[in-house]
Amino acid sequence: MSQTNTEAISQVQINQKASTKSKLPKIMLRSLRYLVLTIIAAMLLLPLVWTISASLKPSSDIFSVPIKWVPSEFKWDNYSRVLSIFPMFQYSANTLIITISAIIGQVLSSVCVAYGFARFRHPLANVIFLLVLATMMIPGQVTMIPQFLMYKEFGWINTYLPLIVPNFFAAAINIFLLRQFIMGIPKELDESAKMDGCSSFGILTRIIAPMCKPIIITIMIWTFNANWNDFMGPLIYLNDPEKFTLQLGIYSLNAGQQGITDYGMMFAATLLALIPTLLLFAVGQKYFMSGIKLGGALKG
Amino acid sequence: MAKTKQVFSSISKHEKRNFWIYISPWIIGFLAFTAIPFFSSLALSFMQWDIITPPKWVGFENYKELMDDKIYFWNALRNTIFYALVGVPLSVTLGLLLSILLSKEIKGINVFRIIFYLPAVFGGVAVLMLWSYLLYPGTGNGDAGLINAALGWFGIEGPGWSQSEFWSKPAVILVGLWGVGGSMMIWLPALAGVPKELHEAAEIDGASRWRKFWSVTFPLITPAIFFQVTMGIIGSFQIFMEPKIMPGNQKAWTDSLMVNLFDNAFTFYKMGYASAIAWVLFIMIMVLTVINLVVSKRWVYYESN
Repeated sequence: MSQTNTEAISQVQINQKASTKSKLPKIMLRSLRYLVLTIIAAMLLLPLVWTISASLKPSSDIFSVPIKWVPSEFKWDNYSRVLSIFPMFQYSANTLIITISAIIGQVLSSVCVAYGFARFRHPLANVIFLLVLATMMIPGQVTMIPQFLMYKEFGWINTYLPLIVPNFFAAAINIFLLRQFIMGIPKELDESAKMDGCSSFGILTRIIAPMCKPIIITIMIWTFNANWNDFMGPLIYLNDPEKFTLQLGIYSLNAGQQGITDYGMMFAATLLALIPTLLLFAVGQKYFMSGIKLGGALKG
Repeated sequence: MAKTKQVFSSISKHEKRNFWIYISPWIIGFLAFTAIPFFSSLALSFMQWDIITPPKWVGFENYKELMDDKIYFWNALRNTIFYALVGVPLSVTLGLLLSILLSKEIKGINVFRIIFYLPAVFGGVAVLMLWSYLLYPGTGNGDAGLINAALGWFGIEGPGWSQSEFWSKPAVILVGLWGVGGSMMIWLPALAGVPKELHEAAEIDGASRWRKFWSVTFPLITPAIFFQVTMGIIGSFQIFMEPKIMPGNQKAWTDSLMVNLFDNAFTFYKMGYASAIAWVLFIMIMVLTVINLVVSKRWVYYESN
């Protein structure tokens, strides 16, 4: 305690020394940093602000120059019209079914497999783990066509199964991250649980899995984003408009209305489609930003 | 050797069995969704198959046809290389510069980090469509999207974007750059891993900011740079959504190899031909990754060495 105090004090002294030595440039430098950050932030946010304003305008106003940031007439009915012709809720529900199933599948299977690699010895373990990492190098398009033919054989076309089922077999990147994390958990915890008569499965569910919470949340967010925003999968496998996901729905709304596009309505639809992602980001922001120290993993 | 043998024999049967049980989801998935499709895809690339009539073995015919296809394949290949050559260096450099700006723990930095990260969170069709509108061509005086109107504020006449053969490809790249803040997830931990003492030591030696970056920070973050370049190249070779959703006025201007592959497989049902495209893509990615790995030995610095 006292040591950290002296450290803190000496740190303060160093800071004071540094600041008295060159006060002016430091303040200027700092303001410059804030200025640059603010300008870039404004540039990044501008498209969003523009869209919000566009979604409330009559179509004729949207591309007018100079830009009217505040609509001359607020067309709130852009939103109600979208919701009446565009089955937003249906598409969101469809997407949610796929996404939630995918998350459950990824978490269950990845935790299980990572636990297997981290805690049980086998002469082949290293070779198989290398194989896991090697699969990350195989780009999806190589396996895409045979997978399509296989699902067609199974009669899975136009169902959600091709989009859900593969998630129950653990993705390599998730196995890798969880394995690293589990190996950092002291083995003594397992041992003592074993003494108390806990089975290996019990150790997994009661000790390991709860401790992996930060990584699990990160995996959940990644899986959510990958599936919520997936376009090619649904494009390949879903034909029935009733089964469309949000992404496919918006795509078809645009593709179907070429030439007579109601811009105000399109922007309203665009924003509505972004809301779920935004909500999730707001809730899990902390995990988005600092979930994983990939930099550390890279050095290993 | 004797020691490893001893370790192996000391592993109980029970432990070995548990190993297989727990990793079985991966093994099954690997066989069903990766290994078998991988080799089937290679076999398919030597066949002609429209799904309706039985497949026919044609040897290297598909590959020959690809090499002769100047209109679609070579064009898509050129576009894809453009995305890699222009897009990857741009996004790696910009991502790193932004992250350096965001790396210092100053007051309110988290708000900036969140704002910079936000565009990366938004993905999918909606954002790409939004960008086709933002890039709506036109000048500052007439009907124009936000980007050209904004360029107009500075007296710059914006280009035609999707309406122009030259600018339609940069338009595709530009969308990705909006989300470049997402890469701070890799950069920030890497930058934080550079020991403060080294910076202080360099400062005492009178090193300038620039010098400190090149001599201290840069060597220490080369593993992250290598990672970003590798992933960037792999990603740019698989680019699909952007050219599919916000194509140039003529599809040929923006079509990537992936769009070419998709069209052949799922629009024309040329499964063998599309598989050949997949394999050409795969081999190119592999070769580039290996070159990247070999070259990296010269410039990537690992602390353990």
